[in-house]
Order: sequence, then structure tokens, then C-alpha cells
Amino acid sequence: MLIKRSQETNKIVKKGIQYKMRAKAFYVIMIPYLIMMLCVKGFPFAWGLYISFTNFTGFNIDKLKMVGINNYLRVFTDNEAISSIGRTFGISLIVVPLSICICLLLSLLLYANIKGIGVFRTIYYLPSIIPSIAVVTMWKGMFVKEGGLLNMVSKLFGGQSINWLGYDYARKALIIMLLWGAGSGILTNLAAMKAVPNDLYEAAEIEGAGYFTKLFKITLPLISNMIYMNLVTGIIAMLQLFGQPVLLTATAGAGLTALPIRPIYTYLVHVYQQIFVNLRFGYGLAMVWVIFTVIMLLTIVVDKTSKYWVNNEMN
Amino acid sequence: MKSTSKNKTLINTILYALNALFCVIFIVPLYFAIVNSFNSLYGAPVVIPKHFEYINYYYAVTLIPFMRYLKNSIFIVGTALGLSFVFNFMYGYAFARLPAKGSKPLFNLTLMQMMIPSFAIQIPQYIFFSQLGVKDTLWIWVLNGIAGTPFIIFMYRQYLYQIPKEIEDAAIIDGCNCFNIIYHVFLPVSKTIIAVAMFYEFIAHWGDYMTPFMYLTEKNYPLSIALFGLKYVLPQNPSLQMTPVLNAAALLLSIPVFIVFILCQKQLVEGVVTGSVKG
Repeated sequence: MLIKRSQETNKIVKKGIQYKMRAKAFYVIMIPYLIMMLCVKGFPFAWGLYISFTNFTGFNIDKLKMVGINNYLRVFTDNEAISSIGRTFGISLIVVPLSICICLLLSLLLYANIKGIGVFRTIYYLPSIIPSIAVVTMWKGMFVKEGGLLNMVSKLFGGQSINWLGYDYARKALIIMLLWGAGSGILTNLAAMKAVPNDLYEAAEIEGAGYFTKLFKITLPLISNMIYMNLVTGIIAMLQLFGQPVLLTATAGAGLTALPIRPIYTYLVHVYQQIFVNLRFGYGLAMVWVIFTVIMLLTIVVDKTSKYWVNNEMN
Repeated sequence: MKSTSKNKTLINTILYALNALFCVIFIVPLYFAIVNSFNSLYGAPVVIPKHFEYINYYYAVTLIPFMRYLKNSIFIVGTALGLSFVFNFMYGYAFARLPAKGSKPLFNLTLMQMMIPSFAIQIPQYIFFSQLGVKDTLWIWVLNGIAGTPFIIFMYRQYLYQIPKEIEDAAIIDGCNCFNIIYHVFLPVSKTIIAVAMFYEFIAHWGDYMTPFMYLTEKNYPLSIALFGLKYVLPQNPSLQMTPVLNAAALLLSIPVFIVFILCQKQLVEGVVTGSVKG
């Protein structure tokens, strides 16, 4: 009896020590995380919010003046800012749903488990991981007016040659280029599809369900959390669209501060212009906070609607 | 019975046809770039290669200080990947296996960070650090590396969380401390997820032009930003448009990505679920 009890106490003591040891290790590991996260991300983030209420231009840090919400008011009266956010939304409204649909279609095609799936999967996925600078260089070759592949094809069918990178078509060109990377979600989609229990399909088949019934009643609802994820990440990625337009149609300026042509002058391009060219740090940061708030609100809205269309029972 | 097998071949044929169609659409830009990277400098772009001008690749590497850019790229990506591996794995491990007070709020903080778009951190960070005079060093990658990548931490945490408890019991009885346990027990079983995380980090840093543009000067530029808006100029013929050479440079930049993808493909297909299924 005594021996047994002492063994149990031993166990408890040991467990206690272990718990303490583990907690200690946890704090040791977390110290660099917490410190660096606060210093490198948290503090600049909050400081940026403060700066967005000042007239900071890079040289006047000693005599900063609080300008209240003036910077924010300016965002809503700045024609460039308003029209560029409209353009960004316009592009996102086309690219996000289309790439989700294309991604789903590709995943469904791959799910059929035919021979050569590895090759197909690689070809669909690769464009989404090629560095964007290389993507744009390749697509410029496609779009170029003289000798671009798209115009070669259109000439073959007797069409006019189009100035893809000109004023009228630049937006379409950008959208086509962005859709090339639509395969980025196929790996996760496929994994989710494979996780759908097979007996669901078998049961449906016994009841005589066809391909599309199964697709809309079983597959899509059960991978709806993946679609939700693609939607949220797609919105965030598209609203911060920046490098591709600059690269595709850089006119004046060099490198990242070059100006793309009007139809694809997106909101973030305007932000970078304010910060890196005009050195209007206060105003630029106010613009950052405006689009940040918009993105957060959109995410919340999507999240709120998700209970009507996202199935969470799988997890 | 016969009709169903007939049906099956029909469906398979349709699937193949559709897959082939999409593959052609997806591969065409890449194909066109490859073919034209071998095209003659003085000829119009072609669809079917007539001759292979390897000299374009020679120009792509020698007309600009390509090797210097490549060296910088390797330094940056190496630093970022090394730190990402060490720190994110530790953080993920701590969240998954070390119960302690404060673990939950800290983890929620990590999840919250995942929701913040990158520019909202990057821009204030740049303005802040430029005020401190941080310029032209690798420090920014070091600091950001230690600060961790929320998504990668989350991925490691999800993976390590579902490993059964028994696996570390033997090590505990042997008197291993936490760091020994990580090294001898958890690292070997996490190869898949480490490969996935490294793949994501590689893609993110290899093609990243934003951070180098903000913090570095031309001397220290990596390839990704060096090729940005670059114009190749042939000394003998400065006005010549060197599109084939640009194509060659773009492909050279993409080759490491292809290689890394092919190396990690198996692990990606297996391990990709862990990070993406919200837990």
C-alpha cells in the first residue's frame, strides 16, 4: 500500500517537474519570438498608425505636426486614390472568382486519377510559383504587338493585330496574365477532394446520382472550406496588386517606382508612388491603413457569410 | 456491363482531351519563352525553333554582373531559409507540445498575424527602419527571420500537434531535455512538413523583389530585383532590342524554382493539407 502510494506520488512529482520543465522551455523558446515580433512587426505597425496622423515626410521627424485625420480625408478626396481603388476592385472582381473557378475545374480534372496526372499537375501548378518578374517577361513576349504570340494567332485567323499593352487592352492583358497563375490552389483542393469519404459517392451512386449531382451535392460542399480559403487569400492578394502592373507596362521612371499606364494603375501603385517618389510618408501610411481596413472588413464579411455556404463538419 | 465500360472509356477520353487542352493553354507562354530564348537576336519571334542560339544565355549571364546578383540571391535566400527552419520549427514545436500559461493567447496572436496583408507590415517597417538608418544589410532578413513566419509556424504546429504522445515517452524516460527531444524525435518524423515549409519559403524569398528594393542598393541586389526593368545592351549594337536575352534571363531565374518544385513534389502533395486545413 505504502509502496504503491509512493510510486503514485513519484509519478505526480515527476509529472509536476516535467510540466515545469516544459513550461520553462516554452518561455525560453518564446522569448526571441515575442521580442522580435514586437520590435520588427508590432511596433512599426503601431508607429505607422501614429505617423499616418502626422505630416511626416522623412526629414521632419524632430518637428512632427499632428494633422488629425487630414491625411485620411485626403485619401477620399484624392481623385487618383479613389479611381485607383475602383480599378483595383474592378480587376479583383474578375480575377478572384475566375481563378477560383479555373482552379476548381483543374482540380476536378486531376481528381479523375487518370494516367499522367503528375505531369498535368506540374504543368498547372508551375505558373503560380514562377517569380513574377519572370512571368511578366514571358508574357510581355506573348503580348508584344509585333511578333507577340497572341497577335500571331489572331493574324492567322485573319484578325487585327491588337496593341495588348496599350491603353485599351492593358487591363485584359493583366487579367489574362494573372489567371495564368490560377493553379496555385490545386494541390490543396486535390488533397481536400481526396479526403472526401468514398462511401458517400457509393451511396449516391446507388441512389442513381449522376456526375453533376455528386459534384454539387457532395464534392463542392465538402471542399467548401478550401474555396473559402482561396476566396480570402485571393481577395487579399488582388487588393494589394502592385508589381505586375508596374512590370507589364512601365512607362516613366525606373524599377519599382515606374508608372504603369492608367488602366492598370492600382491602389498600391499609388501608395508606393506617395512613399518612394513623393516621400509623403504620413499620407502614404494613411492610404495603407485605409486599404488595410477595407481588406479586414471584406474578410469579416466573407467570414460572416461563410456559415451559409462553408461546411465545417469535415474537421 | 458492356455499356458501362464503353462509358468509362468515353469519360476517360473526354478527361484526357480536356486535360490536354488546358495543358497546352498553360504551357504555351512557357514554351514560347523557351523557344524564343534560343532565337536569333536579329530575327522576329518564332513559334517553331529554327536554330538554337546558346549565345543568348551567355549574354544573359555576362552582359550584367549576373554572378554577383546570383551570389546575393543565394545569401539572402540562404539566410532566410536557415532562420525560418530553426526558429519557426521551434515556435511550432513550443505551441504544439509545450503546455504553458500564455500559450493560447500567443498562438491567437500568431493566427491574427496571418490575416494581416504583407504590405501593411512591410511599408511601416521600411519607413521605421529607414529612420533608424538600417540600410544595405542582411539584418532585416535576420530580424524578420527570428520574428517568424506566422503561416509556417501554424503549419508546423498543426503537424506536430497530431503526433501521438507515446513517441516522446522513451526519450523522456531516458532523461532527454526538450531540445534533445526535438532533435532526436520530432525532426526525423517531420521531414515532409519541413520540405513543404522550406518550399513555400524558397518561393517567397527567391522571387521577392519588394524587400531587396526597399533595403538594398544596386551593389547588393539579388537576381529577382536586378532583372526588374532591366535592359540588356549589346556593346557593339546598343540600340538592339534583346528580347531573347531577357527571356533567357527570366528562364534562368525560374530554373531553381522548377528544380525545388520537382524535388519537393512528393512531400508537397502529401503535406500540403496540414497547413491549409484550418484547425
